Order: sequence, then structure tokens, then C-alpha cells
Amino acid sequence: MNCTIVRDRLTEHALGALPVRDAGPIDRHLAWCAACRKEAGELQRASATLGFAVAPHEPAHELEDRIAGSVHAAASRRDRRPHAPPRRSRLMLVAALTAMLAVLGTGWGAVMAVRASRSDDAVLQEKIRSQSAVERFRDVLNTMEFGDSDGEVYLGTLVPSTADGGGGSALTLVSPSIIDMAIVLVNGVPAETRLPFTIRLRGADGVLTVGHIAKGGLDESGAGIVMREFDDLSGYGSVIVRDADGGVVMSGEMRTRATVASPSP
Amino acid sequence: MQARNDGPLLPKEEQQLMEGLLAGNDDAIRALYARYGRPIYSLGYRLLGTRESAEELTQDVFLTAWRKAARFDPTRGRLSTWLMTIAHNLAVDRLRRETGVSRPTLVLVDEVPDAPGLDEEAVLIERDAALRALSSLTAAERRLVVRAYFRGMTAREIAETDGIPLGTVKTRLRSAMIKVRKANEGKELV
Repeated sequence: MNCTIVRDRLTEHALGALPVRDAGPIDRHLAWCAACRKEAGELQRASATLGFAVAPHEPAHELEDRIAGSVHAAASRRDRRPHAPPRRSRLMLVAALTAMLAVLGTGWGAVMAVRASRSDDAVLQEKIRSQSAVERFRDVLNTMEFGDSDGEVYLGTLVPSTADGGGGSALTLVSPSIIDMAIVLVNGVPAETRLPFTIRLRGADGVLTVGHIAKGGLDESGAGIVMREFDDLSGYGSVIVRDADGGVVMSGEMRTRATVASPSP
Repeated sequence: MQARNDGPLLPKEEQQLMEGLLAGNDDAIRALYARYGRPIYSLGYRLLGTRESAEELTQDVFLTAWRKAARFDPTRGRLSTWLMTIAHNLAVDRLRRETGVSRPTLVLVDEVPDAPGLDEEAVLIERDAALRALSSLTAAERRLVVRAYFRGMTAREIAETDGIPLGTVKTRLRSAMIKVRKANEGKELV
């Protein structure tokens, strides 16, 4: 990507009006091109100015304490972690994807077991969709830097609360030296389900929100995905998916653990 | 750590605050929150539509800032720009993931009376700059910028919605952002 193309898109980039897939190449160009970076910086300053134009709202008083507490906790966990030198690890990526494939298979099978009336075509479509989800996982994981030799992957299958409530899979990456990540995939969600879903992880330290899936976040087969980075997912072993009414529609335990060793330096 | 809540920060003060944040220093965290917590929360509320989402966003912004604190360089841009960019990016990412999320109509500060006594000087200066920037735009430009920045719409989506060429949308957005830039040229933002 050359400077002409990049500059043509810098305004959209600064306003957040670029599709995610188009922003990556521009970010990579900006990393080495000082001239474009200068232009981008000026547009970014103009764009950030707009953020102050919204009518002020007063957050709850306790938010300050909650934020201070979360930063303290993150800093404290970091200080306790061993300092592993960052290294890229494709093996970790492969291990994570391989394990995810296995879980996707299980999850898909579980969904199919309760939806046995589906036609062969529907089953095939479900399988294709699962493969497509794996492709999306690969795209996401390819953009990340895995850099430790002690990372662990936890996997779980989401079981629906009712026989026709869909299913899903969950994956968490827990690392002592890089940012942790949770990915939750739901599939086969019936059209009449009350959305949005709220997906949370539960652990000894409390509950963390992974994300929400609204109606537009599901494809035609009722599949959707959320992912989020966390500072520390150690001990978060349960996944709960609630509908718009707060009812649990599916849940699961992160029962499968895989240690993913980095290659030798 | 001593941190002022009023007036623009010097680059050195911004650097000290970020070093404090990185170290998990309570004074630094609270000084940053006092200065930027409400603008970030307000942006989150307007983009995402609920208090819960805005609180989650604000917390995410501070944690992201903590994680990236070592990358902040005050010689390359102001802290307010850096934090609002993080907030906007996180909010737009979430908006796009949750298409269809219910959110209220955007209300800009010039359409809503301020609650008295809430603003610190620094925030007032920033909002003054924001108003100056928006008032420099035509109604059409403002509508375009609002949909891109506050609705998370891509240029292509705007073009398709309005039935106009993508190139025209890009040209108008660029023209609008040049005006926004010029409106605050030489002005000291916080």
C-alpha cells in the first residue's frame, strides 16, 4: 500500500469510518511512514475533538473506585507474573485452532443432537458454517502475537437450557506474560430468541463480561461470535449466556485444558 | 503524585501521569479519571446508549490505557486525543459487533443545557474546542461527520444510505475534517 492510497483513506481512518479489514494495512503503513503518520496524527486530533461535543453525562460515583480497583488489580497481577520474553509462536496458534476445531465439532454435534429433525442440507450448512467460523478464528489469531511458553488454552462446550436453544463453544487463552483472551461462539440460536445475548465468564474472582450479541450479530443460521481481551482470565472456568430477559439460555464449563508450548528460540 | 484537575497539562505532566498509571499509582489513576472519566463516559453513553455499556467502556478505556501506557508519547500528541481515540475505537468496535443495539438520538452539547458546577476547566476548554469545530461545519457536513464518528458508519455505508458515490462521501468527509482541524489551529487543547 503506497502513500497515495493511504492518504486517500486517512480521514475515514481517523473518524473510525473504515471497515476493520481495511484499517490493518493502513496501520501497518503508518508504523513506518513518518509523513503519513504526521498527517494521520493531525486528523486524529481533529477527530478526537469531536468526542468532547456530546452532552455531558455524570457516571455513577462508584465507577471511579471500580476503575481504580481494576487497574490496581491488573498492575498487581502483572507484578506477580514471571517476565517471559515475548516470542511469536505459530505452534500456539496451531494448537489453539486444533483444539478449537475439536470443540467446534463437539458443540456442533450437541446442537445437532437436539435438532435431529433438520434435513441433511441443514446439517451440511451447519458444518460449512462451523468451518467458516474456524476461518474467522484463524484470521483473528493470526493478527495476535503469542509470546510465552506457559500459555494455556481452555475450551468448553455450551449446552442449551432447552432442547431447541442452540449451542456453542468457548475458548480462553490464559497467559502469564501476554494479554489473555476469550472467544465464545454460539450457533443454532432460534430466530424467536430474545436478544441481545450477554455472554459472561464466571470465576473465583467474580464475573467478567465477554460481550453481547444483538440480532444483527447473528448470521442466518443463528451463529454469532464475541471475543475480548482481558488482563487475567486465570480461574474463570464457566461461561453463561443470558437472553434479553436475563434468563440463562446456555452455559458451559471450560473443562478441556491444553498447554501450548512455544517453539525453541 | 501531585496532579492538577484544572487547566491544560504540560507534556511533562501528561508523561508523569501515564508513568503513574503504568505503575498502578492510585493518585495518578484518580487524577486521570477526574480529568477524562466523564468525557469518556459521556461519549460511551451517546454511542452505546446505556449506562451499563458506558461504564464498561470507560473501564475498558482505562485498562487499555494502562496496558498501552508505555507507548504513549506526549511529543506525538495530547493525552486527551490518545484517550478519546481509544474510547472511540473501542465504542465503534462494539457498535459494529452489536448492530441493532438500542441507543438514544445523539444530542450535542449546544442543544443541551449544562448542569452547573460539574465541569472542570480542562473539560470546558475541550468542549469549547469541540463546539468551535462543529460550528465551522455546514449542516450537511455536520450530519456526515456525526454519522461517521458517532454512529460508526463506514463511508461506504453512508454512500449506500444516501445514494451518492463513495468518492463524494470521502471528499466531503475530508473537507469537513480539514475545517475541524482549522477551527482549532493554534488553540491549546487539553
